[in-house]
Amino acid sequence: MKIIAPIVAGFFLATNLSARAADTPTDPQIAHIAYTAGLVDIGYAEIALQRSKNKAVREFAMEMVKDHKAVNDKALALVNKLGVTPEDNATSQTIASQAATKRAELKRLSGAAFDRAYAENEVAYHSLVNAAVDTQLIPYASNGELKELLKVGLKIFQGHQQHAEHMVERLSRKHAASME
Amino acid sequence: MRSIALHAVFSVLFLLAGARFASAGEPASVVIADLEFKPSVITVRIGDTVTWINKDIVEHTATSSDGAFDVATPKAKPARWRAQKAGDFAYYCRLHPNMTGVIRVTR
Repeated sequence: MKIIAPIVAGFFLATNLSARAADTPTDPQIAHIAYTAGLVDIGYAEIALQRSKNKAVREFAMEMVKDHKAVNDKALALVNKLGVTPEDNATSQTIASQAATKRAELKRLSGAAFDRAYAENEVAYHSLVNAAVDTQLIPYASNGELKELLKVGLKIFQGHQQHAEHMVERLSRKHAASME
Repeated sequence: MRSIALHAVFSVLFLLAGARFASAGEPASVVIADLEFKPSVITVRIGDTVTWINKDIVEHTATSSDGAFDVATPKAKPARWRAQKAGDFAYYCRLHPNMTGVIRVTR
C-alpha cells in the first residue's frame, strides 16, 4: 500500500503544501479519504444524538448525518460510475484512528459539558477537513467529476463549520449565564 | 471627484447585474444550486410569491435575518413565501450560513 505520509502531515499539522509535492494521492485514495472523513463526522453526530438533550445540538447532529450521507452517497455513485475502487491509505487510517480517540473522549461526557465538547470538536474537525479538501484533495484530484464533487462538498462543509461556530457561541453564552 | 462618480456608477451597475426584477404578479424564482441562492438579490412587489427551487444534494432553509420568514427548502420540492411588507430582507441558510441572499420588496 502506498503510504502518503506527507498528506497526513498536511491534514493534521497544516504543513506547507510544497513540502510534500513529490508524493501525491491518487483519485481512489482521495475518494477513500473524503468518504472516511464523512463517516467520522456521522459517527460524532450519532454520539450526540445518543447523549445530548439540547435541541440545537441535536438538530445540528441530524443535519450532519443527512448531509454527510448525501455527499458520501454521491461519491459512491460516482466511483461506481467511473469503475473506481476507493483505496485505503495511511491518511484514511490516521483519520479513523484519531476519530476513535475523540469518540472515546466524547462518550465520557454528558450534559452541557458534552454539548460544548461536541460543538467545539465540530468546529475543529471541519476546519481541518476543509483545509485538507481545499489545499490537498481538490488540487490533486485528476478526474473532473471527482474534483467538482469535492468543490461542492467543501462548500457544504464550510457551511457546517460556520453553523458549528454559531452553536459554540450560543452554548458559551448559555454557560456564562449559568455561572453568574 | 470624477473617479468617485465613476466608481459609484459602476457599483450600481454591479449590483443591478446580480439582481432580478419580477414584474407585478409574476412568480419570482430563486434556484438553489452549489450552495448559492441564484440570483442572490431579487426584487418583488408586495403580494408576490417567492419560490425557492433546491437543486442541491442537501436540504437548506431560507431564513430572514430579522425573523420575517423561515422557510424550509427541501430537495426537489419548491418552497414558497408571500411578500407582505416592503423592505430589504437579508436572508441566509440556517444549516449552511455561508449561503446568503436578499429579497427587496417594493410597493
